[in-house]
Formats: sequence, structure tokens, C-alpha cells
Amino acid sequence: MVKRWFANSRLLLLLVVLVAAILRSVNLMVTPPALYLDEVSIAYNAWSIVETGADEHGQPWPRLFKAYGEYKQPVYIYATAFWILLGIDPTLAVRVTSLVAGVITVALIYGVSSTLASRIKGLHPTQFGLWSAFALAIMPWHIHFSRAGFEATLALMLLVASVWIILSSRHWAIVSVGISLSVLSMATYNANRVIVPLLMLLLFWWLKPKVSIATLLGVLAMPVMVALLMWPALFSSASIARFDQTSAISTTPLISWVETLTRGVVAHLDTTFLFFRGDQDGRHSVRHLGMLLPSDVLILVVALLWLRNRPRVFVAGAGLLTLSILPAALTTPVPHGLRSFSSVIIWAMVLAIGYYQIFGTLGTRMSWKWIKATMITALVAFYLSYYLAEYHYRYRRITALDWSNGIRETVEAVAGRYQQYDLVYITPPISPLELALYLPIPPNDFQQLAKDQDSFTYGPIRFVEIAWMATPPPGSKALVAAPASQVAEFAPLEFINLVNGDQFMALWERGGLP
Amino acid sequence: MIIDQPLSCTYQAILTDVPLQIWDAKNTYFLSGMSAHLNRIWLNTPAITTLNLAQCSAHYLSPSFFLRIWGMFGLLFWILGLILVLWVYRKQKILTLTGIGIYLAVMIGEVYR
Repeated sequence: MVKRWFANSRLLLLLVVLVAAILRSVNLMVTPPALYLDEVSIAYNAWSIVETGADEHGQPWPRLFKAYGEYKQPVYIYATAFWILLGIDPTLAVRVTSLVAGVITVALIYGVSSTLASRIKGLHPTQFGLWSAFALAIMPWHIHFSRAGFEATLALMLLVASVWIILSSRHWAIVSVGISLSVLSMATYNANRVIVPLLMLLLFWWLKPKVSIATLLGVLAMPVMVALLMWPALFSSASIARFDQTSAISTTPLISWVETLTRGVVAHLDTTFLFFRGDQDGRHSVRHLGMLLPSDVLILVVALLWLRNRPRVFVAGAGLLTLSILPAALTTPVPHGLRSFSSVIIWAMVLAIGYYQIFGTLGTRMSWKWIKATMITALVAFYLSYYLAEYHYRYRRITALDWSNGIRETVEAVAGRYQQYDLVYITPPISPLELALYLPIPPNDFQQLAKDQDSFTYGPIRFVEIAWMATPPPGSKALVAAPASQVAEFAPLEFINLVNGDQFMALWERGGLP
Repeated sequence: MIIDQPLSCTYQAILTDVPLQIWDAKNTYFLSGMSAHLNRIWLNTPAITTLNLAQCSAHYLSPSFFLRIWGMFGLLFWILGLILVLWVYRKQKILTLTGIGIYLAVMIGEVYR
């Protein structure tokens, strides 16, 4: 009976993609409650590229963005620049990139899964593809990261597109495009620089293509050109600086690597992390529910029972899951929802096996299978709605500070008043780049300014460490934007509150002492 | 709190924690503008207790628990357990069920201690 429903697969896929788009786009600029520091950096650099063809430091068409000094991969920034070019505000464009990548990934996983299923006995390609897309569409882990400016979402989309092209194409020229996309994904998010080479080797070992040396060279020409184009992002010492900062193995002796890696991988298989509490970084999960839905435990058990009869598929799945977790296992802290983000594809496929076993074998008569399917549907609906309630009602309040909430509101309050003052003093946690994005300071002007807080000056605006260090000259009037706790006792002009109502910053007027 | 210390997943700890969790969540939902009637769908004692019990039970079956308590041998033990449940069960039902039974008894003893 269910097979009849799947007859119109295109319409169903469109429906699943629509669900994915709705879950990822509703209240996009409300939850998460503000742009965090990396999103600010991406948004401003993308705007700077569109306006001037150079980054915030004045470097023309960079292939590795210096940003705050941690060096950002270029692809996400250029993708954001594309939306800005279409007229979207930079603060929205940085999230639209991730949103669009997330929705396209849901469509792409259909292609990858159905192609894979046509090579595996016991799975219906169309049904398996649709269940994979559905599992990814409603997966909290994927929804969460698709709603904010995380490079990992675009990198995953490029990787999935690459795998789909390689698996389904028979023309070497198109396979070449597929490999090039995987190289681009390496220049999008650092974790993919670990995954992509190993995955490509595994894919070609599995597919065992019969190809002459001349054809092979032809196929590799475009990926090599893309790699050369992205050379600074892929191979420069600056591009691996981030790994040095977060590596779990750079300080451990060689003999401990295996144990460190094992502990890292196993941490990402922890049931509390996966189903109940998630990543405890405020930006990486809702914290009161897991990266997957609690009801997924049951669906995974059903999938495991099916997989025990296909040991080769089981081993391949376990191997791919380990590979997708590897970048996170190599670094600290663990478990890390963002660095292990690629594993959502494997989890979606395993869940799809479970869904297929539960729903794909339903007959026309009411039976135990129908009762089981109804119970699972009710549980999934219950926990998905609970996740959405947590996300849209509680999450934004409890993680307001993690998302730098209040910074934009403070800068906008300063922008409304600062021309009435001789001097304006800004204190941390506001950074010069956040000031530049929200005031806004045109990229042409910002490129000329010093980026460190000590020497930053823009018109009457200066930075000071704490409020009482703001000492305007005698006879002048200054506006000070500082944390509320520093100036509350001096009757400030205005308080800026977080979305949870807590006092965060305050604007304080200060006259120069004679 | 069981959030930070999964090993304190005792039945008593769960029962003590549930009202606090519900109060905390309801308070935040209310402040965010959700009606009290609506949040009762998710924030009720049976639902939260079940979720906490499931979290604790699953925790004792998690490979990370085995690794933390018994090191690499624990992980090896977990992998052997998985093999036993998935592949040996059909051929050696009594052996597998005995193994699972012993482990569940220890686990339940831990939760209700």
C-alpha cells in the first residue's frame, strides 16, 4: 500500500524539500537571536568584496581571508557575497547561504541514497532516497546548523553533490566536475580537508573504474586546477593554523594517538550526546535535547536489526561514520557537533533504513506492523514538535550571550545618538568589526582603519577597556557604551537588554572634567 | 544534575530532578510567550520522567560509558556485546540472553541503587 504512495516520487521529494525549507527558514533572524562573531566576520568580508573587491584588510580577491587573524576559508564568504550582490542585506545573506545549502543537501541526499540503494539488495531506491531526504529534513542536527552562518553546511552540500555526481555519472567530464566540487568543499570548511581525500580514495576503490592513464589525467585536470586556484586555502601554513590551535594529537606522543582518536570517535557515539543533551556549546544545539530526536533510538534499533543480515553494508556504514567523525576526533573538545557535522548524512541513511523497514513493508490490512508504525509516527511527531518548541521558545533566551545578542542593538542605539557628542567611547564585548557592520562603516573606510581596539578610531569613536577609562577632554561631552554592570550606578541614558530581559549594555553620558 | 553527571542517573536523582526541569522549562516558555496550556503537551511529569529514564538507560549501553569505566578493554567488551546481540543471538539464544540479562541486572541495580 505504501508503495503506491511512493509512485509519485518527484512530488514527494518536493514536499520533503518544502518541509526542510520551512523548518530552516521560519524566524531565521529571530532564532538564533543574533549574529555570532564568525557570522559578523563573514558578512562584513562578503560585503567588502562586493563593494570594493577586497576584504576588510584591503587584500584584493583573497583566496584565504585573514579575518580576525584565524584565517577563514574563502568559499562561504564568496557565496555570501553572491546574495549581497542580489540585494540582500549582509546580516541576512550570511544565513541565507547556509539555509539554501541545507535545503539543497536534503534534495541531494535523495540522489545519493537512491543511487546507493540500487547497488544494495533489499532496498527500494526511490523509497530509500525519499526516507533519507525525510530523515535529514527533520533532523535537529541539520536544522540547527542550517539556520546560522556555519561554513560546514555549504561544505557538506558540495561534498554530497560531488559524491552524487561521481556515483551516478557515466561521463568522465562530469565526474571531473564532481571531484572539483569535493576540492571546493575542502576550501569551504577545514574538517572536509580530512574527510575528502580519504572519501575519494574509498569511492574509487569501491567503484574500481576501468580507465586509461590519459583519461585519468584528463579527469584530474579540472580538480587540480581548482586546487591550484584555492592553493592558499588548502596548503598554506596560515590555513592549517586553526588545526594547530585545536588539535588533540599535536601534543600527545605517537603511541597515544590511537587511544586519543578512539576516545574522540566514541565520544560522538555517546547516547547522551546523540539523543538527549547534544553538544553543550550554546551555539551547537538546544542543549535540552540531542543532536537527533530521542525517538530515533527505536528507529536505529530497527535499522541495526536489518543491517545484521548485511554485514558488508554494516561495516561500510560504520567505516563512513568513523570517517565523518574523524576531523572532530582529531581535535578538542569532544564531542563537537559542528566538526562532526558530515556524519548527519550517514545518520540520515541509517535512519532511512529504519523508516523503510517500519513503513515500507506495511500491507493493506491492519496488523501489528500498523500499530508499530503508528506508535513510531506519534513519537517522532511528539519529539519533533518538542524540539521546535525548545528551539523557538527556550533556546534563544538561554543562549543569548553565546550568540552575541545585544551587540547590534547597542551599536544601533549609539548610531542614533553619536552625532550629538564630541567623543564616543565603546568598550568590549563590542569589537571594531561588529561596530563596522552594524553602524555601518563603509568597507572603503574600514579598510583604512586600524583593526585593534587600542588604536581604532572612526570619527568621534574610540575604544576603551572599561567605562571609567573614558576620559573626554575638559569642556567636551562624550557618550560611553559599556556593560550595564560598569555604569548602572551613574544613571545611564539607556539600558540595552538581552532577549531574555537581562540588562546587558548601557549608554552613559560623560562630560570632560575641568 | 543528571545533565552534567550522567553517572548519578539513579532513580531517586531522576525523580528529584523532574519537577525542577519542568519548572525551569515552563518558566522560560512562559516568558517567551507560549501559553501554559500548550507547553503542557511536552512539559509534564510522565514525558520528562520517561525522557530522563531513557537517557539514563541508554547511557549505560553507550560505548562511551564502557570506555570511561573500563578503558579500552571496556570498549572491546562493548563491541563484543554488539556482536553477541546482532549476530550470535540467532545461533546461541541462551548464551546471548544470559549475557544481556547479567548486564541489564547490573545496570538496573545501578539506576535503582
